[in-house]
Amino acid sequence: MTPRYGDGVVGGSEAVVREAAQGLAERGYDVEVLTTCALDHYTWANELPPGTTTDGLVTVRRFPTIQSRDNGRWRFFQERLLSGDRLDETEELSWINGRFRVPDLYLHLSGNAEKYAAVVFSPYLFWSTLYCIGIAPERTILMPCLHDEPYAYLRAVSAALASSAAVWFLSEPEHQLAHRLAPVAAHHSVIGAAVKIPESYDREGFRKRHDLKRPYVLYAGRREGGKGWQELMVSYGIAIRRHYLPFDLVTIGVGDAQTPPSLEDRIVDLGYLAPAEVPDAFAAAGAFLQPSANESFSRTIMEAWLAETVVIANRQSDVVTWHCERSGGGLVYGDELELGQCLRFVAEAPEQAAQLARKGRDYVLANYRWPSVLDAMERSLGAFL
Amino acid sequence: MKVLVVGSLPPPERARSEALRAEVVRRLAEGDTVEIVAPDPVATAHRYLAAGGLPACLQVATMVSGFDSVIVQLQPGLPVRARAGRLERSVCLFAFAVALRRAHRVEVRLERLEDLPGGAGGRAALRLWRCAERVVTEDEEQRARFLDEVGRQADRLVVTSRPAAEVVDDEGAWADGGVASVENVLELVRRRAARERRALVPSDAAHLAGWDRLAAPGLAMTDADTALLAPSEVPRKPADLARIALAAADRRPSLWRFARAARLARRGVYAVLRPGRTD
Repeated sequence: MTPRYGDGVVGGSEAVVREAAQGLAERGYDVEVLTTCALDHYTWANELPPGTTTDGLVTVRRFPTIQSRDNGRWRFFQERLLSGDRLDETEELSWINGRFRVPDLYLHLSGNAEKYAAVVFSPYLFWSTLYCIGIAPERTILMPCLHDEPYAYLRAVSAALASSAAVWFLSEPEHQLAHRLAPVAAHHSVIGAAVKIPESYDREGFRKRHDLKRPYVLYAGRREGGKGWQELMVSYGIAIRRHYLPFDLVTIGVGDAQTPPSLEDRIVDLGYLAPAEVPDAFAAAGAFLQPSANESFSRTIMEAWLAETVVIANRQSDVVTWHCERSGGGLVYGDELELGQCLRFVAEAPEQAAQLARKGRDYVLANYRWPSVLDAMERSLGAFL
Repeated sequence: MKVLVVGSLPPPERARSEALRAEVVRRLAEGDTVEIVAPDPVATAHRYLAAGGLPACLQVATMVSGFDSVIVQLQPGLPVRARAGRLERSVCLFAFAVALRRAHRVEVRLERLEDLPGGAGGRAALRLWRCAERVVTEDEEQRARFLDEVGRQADRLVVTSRPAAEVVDDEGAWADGGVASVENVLELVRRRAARERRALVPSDAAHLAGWDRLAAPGLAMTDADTALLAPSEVPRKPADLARIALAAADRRPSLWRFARAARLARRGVYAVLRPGRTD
């Protein structure tokens, strides 16, 4: 159960769900994905037709979303949530129900829950999880992909963490965060996540195809406030002027980049890249920047390390900091001055930066390969089969 | 068959909404197409009624045509507001009956008589019952009460209690068919425990129970937690509960408002109720 699925969907949890579904299907499991017809997590518009299709060995059932007409009420609750206010139970449900809802998905699961040995919900925040997770709690596995953000403190999230039959976390800091938030189901484990290992990288080809003449640092993912994109642009602008750094900032992903006029000549927005090109974008970069404080695993830093590109990440993210400390492959910054110094290090000591990146690659290969993650999922699923 | 369901599915989870969900699932399994219109704006639904009472009745009147069957779950607000007086109740029931008269194969579900302000009796209510092919109550007791309140006129109505199997099976038998298996028992254990947790967690007192932290090494339970778990010390009076809530307030931000409501500084409460420890 995931609100968005398929080609063109950008998001870490969505990618993990898709690759895990395909991995389990390849191991002989009969896997169905229940999802919506939406691709865009802002509009939730029905862009794909409802009905049943296949994605490799995985059966995909899509259900249409219905958007609320009362956006004002939703925004009111959203602002209260973000300002730290606590909503009562009905207000919480109004907020969850106010963005989009998928009643046909709810009814399908209600009528067919017993046909599934286990139902895995991910990520935690959306209607498809918080409304549907109570349908068959005895066979429900929640893979929440939690971030330490105001939404994580909703009662409905506490109920979901507590009432699922099992909970799968992607990292130890996410696991610890869950314990700070709520009682957690007795059967829970850190199963981790993984990324596919590219067979090769085409650094020069990527530069030529996109006419990238200067060295660059990369930001990949959703260009939005919650992922720290705006703050990164500001910090990057300060850093390159303060230290005369040679790097452009190349960004790939979805969302309006909203580049400020003063940085238009230094920020290159390549938009949504074909999946086959993404590894090359990581490999050709001097460093990968991860400004997001809201990460439950951070696939992109794994992709960067696999491409032997050093990671420079926001210290506010416990998860990314944890990865960087464990691997020795990444630098974390607390403010724009520290970011500037990190970028100076990459510019002035590229060999040492490459050494760090190689430690990161070793870390990913040792800990985050799909076979070991799928083994952990199978061990947990064993309780249900 | 196209079926219009007017009523609230979960959430919030209540016996009434779970029973309606079970009925919807049964209809879907029979191949019916179901559209759900809820009076509760947070319930799972395709559409919502704008308001309760008379406006809801008028809105339903505009929706029923085009459906082969209509199921209506009565609940406070549909068709009568919880605080409605006698006149308003009569007007709403009359309007709702007129609305449903345009529909085919109407089933009216009145789980408990308390769901309809003023109960099942009276001429206005009788008009509504007469629109229905059948009236469904929660159980035999409610059916008997319904017949008693409606009186002699009930002879011309079909009133049934819903099958017990429609209720979500969260209290299933430990031994299915007399033979218990580890798998069956464990599934029931998980199902029952999950529903218990689900009911417990939304309340602010959930963190006090400590059941999650029993399994987490290194997180010893506190005095307040132990007090709640020990059967002999289970609080029985509201004042006891308030004291425990306040005792925990110093380390549970979610409980600070209890302390504020009692006009007590958190540190003061801490000192009075937890004398063995200092900051």
